[in-house]
Amino acid sequence: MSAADPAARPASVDPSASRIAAGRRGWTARLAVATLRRDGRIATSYRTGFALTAFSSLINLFGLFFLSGIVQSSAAGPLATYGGTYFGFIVLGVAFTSFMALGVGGLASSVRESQLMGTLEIMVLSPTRLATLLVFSAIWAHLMGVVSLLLYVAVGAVLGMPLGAVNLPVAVAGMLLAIVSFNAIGLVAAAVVIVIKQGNPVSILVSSLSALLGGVFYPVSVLPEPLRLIGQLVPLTHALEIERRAVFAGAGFAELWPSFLALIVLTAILVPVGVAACRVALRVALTDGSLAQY
Amino acid sequence: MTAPALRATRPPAQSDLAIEAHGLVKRFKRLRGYRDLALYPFRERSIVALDGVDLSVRSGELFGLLGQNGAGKTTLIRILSTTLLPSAGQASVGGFDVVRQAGEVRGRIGLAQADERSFYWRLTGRQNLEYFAALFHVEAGVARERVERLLDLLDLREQAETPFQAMSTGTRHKFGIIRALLGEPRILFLDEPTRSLDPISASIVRRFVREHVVGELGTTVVLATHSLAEAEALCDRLAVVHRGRIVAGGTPGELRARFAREAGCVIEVRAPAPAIAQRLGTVPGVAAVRSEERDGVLRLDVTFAPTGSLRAVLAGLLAVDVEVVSVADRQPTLEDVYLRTLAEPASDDGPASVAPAGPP
Repeated sequence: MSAADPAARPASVDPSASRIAAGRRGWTARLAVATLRRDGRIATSYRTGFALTAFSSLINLFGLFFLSGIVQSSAAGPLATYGGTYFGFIVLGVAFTSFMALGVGGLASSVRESQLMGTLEIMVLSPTRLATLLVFSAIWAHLMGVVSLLLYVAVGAVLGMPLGAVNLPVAVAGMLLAIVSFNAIGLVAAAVVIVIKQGNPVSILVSSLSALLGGVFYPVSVLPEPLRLIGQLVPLTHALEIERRAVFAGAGFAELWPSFLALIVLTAILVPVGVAACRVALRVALTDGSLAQY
Repeated sequence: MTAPALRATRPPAQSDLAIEAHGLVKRFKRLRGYRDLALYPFRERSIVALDGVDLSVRSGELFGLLGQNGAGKTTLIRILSTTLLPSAGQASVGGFDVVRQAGEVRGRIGLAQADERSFYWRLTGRQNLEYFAALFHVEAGVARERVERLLDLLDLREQAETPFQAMSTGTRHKFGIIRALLGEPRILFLDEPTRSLDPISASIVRRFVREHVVGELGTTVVLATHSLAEAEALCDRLAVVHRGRIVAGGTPGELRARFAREAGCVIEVRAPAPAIAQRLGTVPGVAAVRSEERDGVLRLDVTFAPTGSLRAVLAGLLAVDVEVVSVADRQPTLEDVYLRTLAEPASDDGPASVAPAGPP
């Protein structure tokens, strides 16, 4: 049996035309919310893992507390501009580095998951560009990162971390800027995963370099001059400088503008690089037909 | 084989064509071993998946791509749905170039893949569709209505709240079809939509595609399948794809007509019937007669020449004094066409192209 004559069928109005037009009118926010809801539902379906992650973070915090007791006496000088306590310094450093890892590694992990699940090819069919979708897929992780950061700070405060001088607007502004910067590096990491389909090499490299040069465990002032200069190219260096001085010393924009300026310049360079990297990677995957491969 | 291009004597207007492809070629780089890389670092090896495909699909048509596994059907669908870039050639879908205007194409198509992985397995069917509706920019209210309707039509309402990971393979495929229709696309690509379905579910899906998607919505459908029955039951026109080439094309009826030499009849007469086979062989329009006797019945398998007909054979039979037990017409099935097409060597003139035979 053959289907009915095509000419006798109803003329196809073009509902997709309105869909395309709608794509240019405020769909970004709706898609961000839908992605957040999707990831929230998936994450909360793994209840045990969620609880264990939070628990392990707290264990780390106690480890840092005892470590700082040993380091405190010899590190008092270089820590003067950051409130003077090593415990506060290291807690914020570690917490913020974990937060950075979410931005840098989260997008690449999301791509890897999409490759494994076969959803990457479907995502490409969306009217929204892939780079935007990848950033959306990191929103849930960032929200959880903020919760984790606040938990760290709260427990840290109970253990003696000084929070009396916090300049909250500056800390929040620095954090938002840092998120954009970390996600831009994350786009590069995701682009690499789209092409090589394995691991998360860029994220590992960036995290290691940032830990070494960004002043996570020690102030950058203790680094040799050449390393300190290279460290200026790492967004985490400036982000940590802003956060620590805003949280522990109440520093404002007037004192922190060099760090803000450096972070803005780095972000302005990294965002287009990240978007371009995604575009190139997508073209490579579309050419070799590997979008649905893993 | 020399498969003539089914070109229209009067080509349809440009706006009438939903899909056009000219000389589409796709080469994939072959994965090389370490030894090969070390010995010949600069030698590139590739596999040709599509080899100069020409294709035209009219708006509102249900067009079938018929071929074995690995013939190139999925590669063609992926190029037309913008998830794969061609190595050479040009294609337009909905009037937009699949390479230079991929965004416009994506806004007008739906794609249901054979791959069932492409969902979020920890979410329910409805939660998945809710997300994909947003991904394809379908208004929440509109999406809800469409989802309800499509769930009913595909008999999936009871599975809507089931986590995707707990669904059967066939149900997952059906959800793939619903996802492809969320944006009410003008052109729908279905890659082996009934591959994992039981016969009843397959029948539901076929009826759904024919009656709802094509009949009610007027959507142009390109369906890849290796099921001859499915192609014959659903498609207005077909292209037989073999080793990256279109080796035959046309309506199921046209394809059968081209292989009319396969037509014939099977006559059973009471034995003995001396020299009946030789006598029938002299009837005008009869190309060959094979006979076989079993249990007192002589079975005569008559193959017609292009001018042959059952009427002429029956007239010849009546002139002989035999007891006829049964007569059955034998028309070539699509399977005959398919197997013969694949058995014959490709033309040196290049692959066949498939264009609509003008307005009906």
